Amino acid sequence: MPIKHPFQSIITNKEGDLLFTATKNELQVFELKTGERVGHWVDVFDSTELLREKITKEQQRQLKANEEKAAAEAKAKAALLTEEEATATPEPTTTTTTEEPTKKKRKSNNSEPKVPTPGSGAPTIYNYIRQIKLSNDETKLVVITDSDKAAVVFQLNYDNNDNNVLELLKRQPFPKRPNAITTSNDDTEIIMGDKFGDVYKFAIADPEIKTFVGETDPLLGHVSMLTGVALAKNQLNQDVIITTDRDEHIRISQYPQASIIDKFLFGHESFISSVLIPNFDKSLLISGGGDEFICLWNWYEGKELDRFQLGEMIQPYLSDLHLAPSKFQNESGDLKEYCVAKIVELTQINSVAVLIESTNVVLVLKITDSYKLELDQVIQFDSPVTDICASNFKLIVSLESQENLIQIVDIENKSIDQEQESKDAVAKITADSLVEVESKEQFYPLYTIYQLKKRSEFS
Amino acid sequence: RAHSNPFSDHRLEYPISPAHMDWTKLYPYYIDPEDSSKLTKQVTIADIGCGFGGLMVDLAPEFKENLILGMEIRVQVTNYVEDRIIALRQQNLNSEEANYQNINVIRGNAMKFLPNFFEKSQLEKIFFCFPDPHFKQRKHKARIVTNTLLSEYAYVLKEGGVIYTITDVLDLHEWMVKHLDEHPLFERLDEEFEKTDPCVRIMTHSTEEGKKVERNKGSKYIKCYRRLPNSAVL
Repeated sequence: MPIKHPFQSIITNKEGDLLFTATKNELQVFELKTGERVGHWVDVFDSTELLREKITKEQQRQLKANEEKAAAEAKAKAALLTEEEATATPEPTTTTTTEEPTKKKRKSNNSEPKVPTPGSGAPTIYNYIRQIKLSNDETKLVVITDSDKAAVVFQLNYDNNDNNVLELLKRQPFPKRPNAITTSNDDTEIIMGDKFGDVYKFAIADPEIKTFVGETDPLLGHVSMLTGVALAKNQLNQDVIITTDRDEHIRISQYPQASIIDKFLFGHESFISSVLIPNFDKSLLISGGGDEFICLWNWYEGKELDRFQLGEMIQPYLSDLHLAPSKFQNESGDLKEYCVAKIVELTQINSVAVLIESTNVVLVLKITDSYKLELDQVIQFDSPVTDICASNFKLIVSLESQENLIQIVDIENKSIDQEQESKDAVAKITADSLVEVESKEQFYPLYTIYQLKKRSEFS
Repeated sequence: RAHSNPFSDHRLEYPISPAHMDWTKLYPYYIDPEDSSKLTKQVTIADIGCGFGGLMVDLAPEFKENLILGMEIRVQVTNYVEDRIIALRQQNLNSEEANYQNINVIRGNAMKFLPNFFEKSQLEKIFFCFPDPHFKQRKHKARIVTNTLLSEYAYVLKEGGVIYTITDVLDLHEWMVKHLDEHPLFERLDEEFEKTDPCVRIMTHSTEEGKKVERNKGSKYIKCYRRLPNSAVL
């Protein structure tokens, strides 16, 4: 019997009436009140097509280079020959030797390129939707895909007759794999950070850029994998761009004049996976990642205000999934490692919800009046949590579970919503989710950020 | 090893922030008598990819009032420069001309971690002498001067600070000039500056690479740029 694939990534709107989900290469939109599915999109892009195109291009480039080389050689030879002719009659042996290379050249073929197919035991290629993001005005949805390394923009159209709110606006492929995406403060531009640290921006209204490489200079760049990109306004109401990377940096630059770096927030000792500027106090920034602590900053002043140690409090919720790989394990074999996967704000109660990867819990941390992070509540679920998001009133949790793909948490009570309506919606979303697999082994990787930990040896 | 991949992790040692950096081991001569965890001066001159340290050694007597730091990514080369500086300091204990207490080297990846070492606007001069040309187009992002990295150099340089570049590879020279010309926070300095600035003279003749190029009768291409105020960006 097929089983439901857990949602890998979820977001909701401010009102909390819509849930956007990404599972494998599929997007689904649900109405949270009724559980009705109102949008669906499958990324059918075949990445072998991209590979084929790449190989054809390279073949043509090589052919052209060979031809040019041959032409140049022939020219040089002809010049040499005429010179020789002028001085003496050419030896018959020289003419025979000149013919040989021309014969060789004809061997180059123009046939269809061979696309390498992975043999048995080769690692699976997962073409999933890596990140989903709503524009600030909540009229557009932007996502990034692995298949063709693209940013895909959807218009949310609620008047569509075919019961699908997702209307594809634009698909912009990039030379390197996109890793983080956001929209500008006015929602006219998409800003994308890639695996190699460069950040590009493009206008949603502009036509798709065909040949990207070298022609569009990056807006800014880190020499490290980009893990996050966010737009904000500083205390002078100027636009700034906040970029985070695998090398512990949180960088704040002006926007769009990103050549002016305003400051760095230094303090993290491992990669950054999540930063949040809460709406209840926009001078604050909360950040987490591979460290055993979460930082609270006044980012206007570049000052660390507090550091919440996860250390002892998180231990009871860790499992064998968190054991360090054998190569990096300690002698007693009980070293557990964990990462902060997501931080979302619970505006109503001046708090943030924090997800530690591969655990069954969501931590609620309160930001006190004296700017300290305090543990308010640990909300427990019966299955591991894959992602969290929050509207103004509800916290939504996606689970690696067959019973319920999501749970809705009432923020006031900090407990699972027990209203019948809410229970019915959750059941309907689970039943209606279209992404099914035969067995758990076919699940796409659900917990992925611990791989960002640096493991290299001293060299 | 002649080359090092600037993108790999390398398990480098670098401070969490400039405030975490312990400079006292590198420049013990300048330890603050009132607070032994601090120096009386800050580093203001950086030689990125200092190689065997020839430039620093020649800059030392010229800029006695400045602390000069070389950064080098290759371990063995860094070790050599460390030994060289220890020897120079011992040989010149009471020298009037130069005691070499104001120069030192660290192993580091400046492309990734320069802002971890230096505060905003801390530096007065940054040198890029005979950097790795990375000829292949695919490797151009590994070049030490790119439009995105220049923003980081601009961050650690103070207004009016100078970037010095020299190379014997014309293609690389044109690349660096193009990117520096295009960057809104840098202004090209003219030939008059090149003729009169003491650093240009030292840079041209002192580094090991520079001497090698001279022996091989190669060309040297030089360009210097001044850090403009942020207000120059409209």
